[in-house]
Amino acid sequence: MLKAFSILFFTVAVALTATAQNFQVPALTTPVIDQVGILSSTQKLEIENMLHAFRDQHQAQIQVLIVPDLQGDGIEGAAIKIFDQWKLGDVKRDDGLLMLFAINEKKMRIEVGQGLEGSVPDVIAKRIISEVMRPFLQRGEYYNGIKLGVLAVQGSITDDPTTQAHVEQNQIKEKSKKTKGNLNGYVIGFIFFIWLIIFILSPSTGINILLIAMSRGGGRGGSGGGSRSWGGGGGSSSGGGASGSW
Amino acid sequence: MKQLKKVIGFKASLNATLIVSAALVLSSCGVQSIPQQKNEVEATLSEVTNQYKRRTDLIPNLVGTVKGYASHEKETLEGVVNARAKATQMTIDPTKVSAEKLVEFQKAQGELSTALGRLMMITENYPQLKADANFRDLQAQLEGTENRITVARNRYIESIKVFNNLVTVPPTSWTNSILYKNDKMPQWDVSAAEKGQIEKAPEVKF
Repeated sequence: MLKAFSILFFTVAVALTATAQNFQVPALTTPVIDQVGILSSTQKLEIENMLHAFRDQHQAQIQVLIVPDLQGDGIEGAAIKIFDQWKLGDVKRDDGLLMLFAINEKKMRIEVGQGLEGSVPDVIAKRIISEVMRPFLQRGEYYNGIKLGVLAVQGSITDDPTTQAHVEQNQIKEKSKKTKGNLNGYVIGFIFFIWLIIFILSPSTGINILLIAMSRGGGRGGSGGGSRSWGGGGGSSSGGGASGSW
Repeated sequence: MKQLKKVIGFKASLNATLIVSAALVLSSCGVQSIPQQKNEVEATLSEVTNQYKRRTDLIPNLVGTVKGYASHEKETLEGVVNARAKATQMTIDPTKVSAEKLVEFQKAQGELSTALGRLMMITENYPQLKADANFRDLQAQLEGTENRITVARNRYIESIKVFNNLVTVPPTSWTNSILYKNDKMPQWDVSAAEKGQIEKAPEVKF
């Protein structure tokens, strides 16, 4: 009985400490979330484009989050909470990375997803913080600091041999897609040629076929274009990375 | 004949609904979730031991580097080496966890945490050591590992909580008492000495 009670007490205590650290995680909408407004809209857009392009080419998902303060949480605790909720990176590759900046506390953290621990080890994350970003952040040059930090992180991911192999593989895939695209062109040309013969022989049948084909293919035009979506893919972090202050 | 077919059809549909409802009941009664959660607890515990091992692996290098600058801090250095030796002897099998074994394991790792804390304290007095690139890298690795231990430990605590709920709260507890007869798992208790260590440890400034 006493044992059961003590276990109950402990679970309650754990639940209480969990609610005591109540950092509110914002919704994941864009690659750069700036709750403070230290970046101008063009600066934010530029970094966002960098991160979109990087995810398209190298798959890894890098996220920048700038918050005013940590609401009493430690930066490590807040970072893992955010990572757990956003699930940055792919579920199988775990290739997400979070760059968290708390402006009032002057603290930052690079939280590295499990799949990127090889290409961005703790030592590298620490160096990026203290040697690349800190000097700029100390002078209040947030844009330069964050941008160079992002570039440094991207650099250490692309320098990793496994990532390079990945990229080459993707390029090969792209090439094979392109040749397939040409083939599709021939097929379409051939179908059009047949349709032309039918149209010449019997114009009404030809128009009917055209109408049916158009009604079927009409739904396709919608995809592509518009604003690019950005969300987590189910990745997780085991607490790797580094923290620092400025 | 037609009626017979109807009856058969009715029976078949009854069977189908029975199977479906049985599947629904079974899926929420813990037949699957109890063993699944047990596996989850084992996996999270091996992650904890894995991260602790990562820390013990870092220590020889760290001690070696500190020795180069602060060789006369013999007592502290030996304290770390001894605590590490103790901690490496203390292994835990995630499939056979007893409360006593868990406490022993925690104690050994807690002592190592305290010894490491002392070592990191004295490094504050050696500016040349703190400027050493190798030492800085080791420090970054140690910080990262300590954080990983914290994360792994929290996940372990959380998974035990879920498992204990499955085993003690109805309706899944009924399934457990009929089929599996699992006992509640001992919760990871952060001892007072270690608690103080955790709150201090990640704050390493230079």
